[in-house]
Amino acid sequence: MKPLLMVGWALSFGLIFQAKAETIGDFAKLNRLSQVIRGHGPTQGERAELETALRLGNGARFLETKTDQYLASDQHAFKMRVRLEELFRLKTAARLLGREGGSPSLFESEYHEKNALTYLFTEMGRQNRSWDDLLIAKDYRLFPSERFAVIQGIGVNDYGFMAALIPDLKSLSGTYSSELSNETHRDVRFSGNDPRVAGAITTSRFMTRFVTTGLNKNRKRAAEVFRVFLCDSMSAAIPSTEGKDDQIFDLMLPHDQSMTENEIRTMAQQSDSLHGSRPDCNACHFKLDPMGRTFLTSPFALSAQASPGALSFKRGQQIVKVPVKGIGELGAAITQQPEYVSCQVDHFWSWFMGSRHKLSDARRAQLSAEFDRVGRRTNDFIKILLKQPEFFELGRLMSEAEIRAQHVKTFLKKCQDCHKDQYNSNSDDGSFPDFTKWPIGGSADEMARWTRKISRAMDLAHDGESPVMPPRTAPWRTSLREVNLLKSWIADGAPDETGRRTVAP
Amino acid sequence: MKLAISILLLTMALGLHSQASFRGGYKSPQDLLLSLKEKFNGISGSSCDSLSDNDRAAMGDQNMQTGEPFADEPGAAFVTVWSTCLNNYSYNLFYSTDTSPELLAKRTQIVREIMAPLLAGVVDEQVLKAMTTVMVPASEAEREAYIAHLMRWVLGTDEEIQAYGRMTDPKQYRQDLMRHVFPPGVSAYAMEGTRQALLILLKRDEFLMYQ
Repeated sequence: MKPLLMVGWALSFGLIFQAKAETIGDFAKLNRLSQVIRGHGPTQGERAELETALRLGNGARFLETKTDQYLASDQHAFKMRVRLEELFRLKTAARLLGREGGSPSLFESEYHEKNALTYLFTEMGRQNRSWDDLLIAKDYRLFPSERFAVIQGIGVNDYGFMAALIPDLKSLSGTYSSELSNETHRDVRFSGNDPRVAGAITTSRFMTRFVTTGLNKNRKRAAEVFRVFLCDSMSAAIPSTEGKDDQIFDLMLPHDQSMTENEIRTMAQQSDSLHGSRPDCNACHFKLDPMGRTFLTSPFALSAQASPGALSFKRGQQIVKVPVKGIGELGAAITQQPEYVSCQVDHFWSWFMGSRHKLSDARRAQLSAEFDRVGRRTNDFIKILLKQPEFFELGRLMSEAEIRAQHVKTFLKKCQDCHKDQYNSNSDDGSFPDFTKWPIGGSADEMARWTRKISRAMDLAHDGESPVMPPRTAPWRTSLREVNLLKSWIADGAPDETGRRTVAP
Repeated sequence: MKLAISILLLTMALGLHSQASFRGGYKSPQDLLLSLKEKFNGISGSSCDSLSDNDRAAMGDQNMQTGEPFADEPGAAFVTVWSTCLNNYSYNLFYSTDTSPELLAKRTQIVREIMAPLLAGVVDEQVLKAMTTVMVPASEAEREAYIAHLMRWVLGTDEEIQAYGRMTDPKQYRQDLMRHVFPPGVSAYAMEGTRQALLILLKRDEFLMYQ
């Protein structure tokens, strides 16, 4: 079986190499594989080996072998770890491949190197683990991380975090003890259907990065799960046209120094009522709140009691609701959703293909099937991607029109993130069009209407002096550079990547 | 003018992301530092042996609040940090006074790789001494061959370089670089010109990008 697969792999390499005239040569292929998988170019020795292989007519086979070697390397495991740290918006590695050299400036470096989440991230590439393990893994390597615990004075290391679930960790309580000095780590495994643990999201590092408070009630954690695993950015869409900005602000920041405690309490109740009755708020909260409840019993350390909740989100115009007994079931439920699969395919595509090639819906569906076919295993799916013809295409500089269109779409994506879940009374199905798919709304007329709307909302006529969008409650502001970009783009007829106008200027 | 353009080509481009960091296919901060460490055989790059908090933004790390890189593309701050790293490595390679056997062996190996055309026949024990006294080749053909060797060591073969789509005429680039670091008619030791050439080449997009 294995030789057959090897031949298939070699053949596909060969076919790809021959099929496209604009693909790169063998040395460039080796360089690209090495750069993308390991993070640096091939060695002089590897170039010499390729030269020999090409002389013997074994070029494709050589590249195949090198791909396997690179995917088995520590550098690849390290790169996957850094990719995942970026995806989860965690502080990325400070030390390079665990080298002791240099002087990492923060004690955190040690904690970030030695914890269950970093270990799991590294193992994804090193052990070719199933990508689902990020949500359903029940095995952990726990680290005591003495220094971090001492400095913080609180039990946030892996031992303290898991102490309620593992009886003999209880005495350690997560803080430093000289009795621990000989124990560098401990491997633990929970049963496959344990509803209390769920891969990456029930780790100390995840929980301390996305802390919960009385106000956010685990929504921050839920939002992160939605963003990473279902590609839902979960940006709030709260229009500022109803004159209620101040109340929303008060809800978000109820700590005006001039207010008494009673005033704060009263106002919070009013704001909560206002918040809960607004459809735009509910566009996110019907998703966040049920998921947040699964974290309810684990505000800081993991609880021995699972907390029930639900996976709730919108698929087209349908509401999907999957009740779960705890985080463990939540993780499993997410991995069963097609949105999860296509979202993860998007992450991989972005990592290995980049922005040069847009992933069409058809290709996404095809790659999603491949993702399933290889058991969602990390390295196996990467190999599938490396066989895609786009991977070896010749690099090129972007045209001015492409750069401009990309900048505009990057900006409009921020608008899209908020508006996508809003109800649009002007459309047949109640949804907003995708601002990053041009022409917006599917026709030149609609494109013209939307660019006028955008122009008014951003007050482009007055250089963004009194904008309605983004609303005051949004977590971002428009820069003058962005105002000028949008203004000149619309004035030029909203040209697409090819420079073709989509509306009359 | 051509040289000025070609020395430091930091252009926005569509390329492989591989991971976040700057937009358009530039390497992540970790991979940038790893690439240098790999290139210099693991000798110390001093402050560039790890990613310091102070340099994260300049090196293109992401803003954890937004998930976006602090800067869209390498700018002045990046060049400042990167130049410091290159100077650290080149100083530790060419001028280090550390006499530990392990470091001497690494330096010997890497100097031999870099200056191979000029050090043929020199025994290992003499490489670090010979590198300070060997002269720039007198003939233009030999100088050009040496520059070609340096380019290959830093950036790879012409085929690899051209696959990035940024340099269309490597031969012309070699000519420009040669005139800059080894001016015609000037007799000089080769080491400093070699160091200058490395500093220039290691700032090229072909070294800084995945693709």
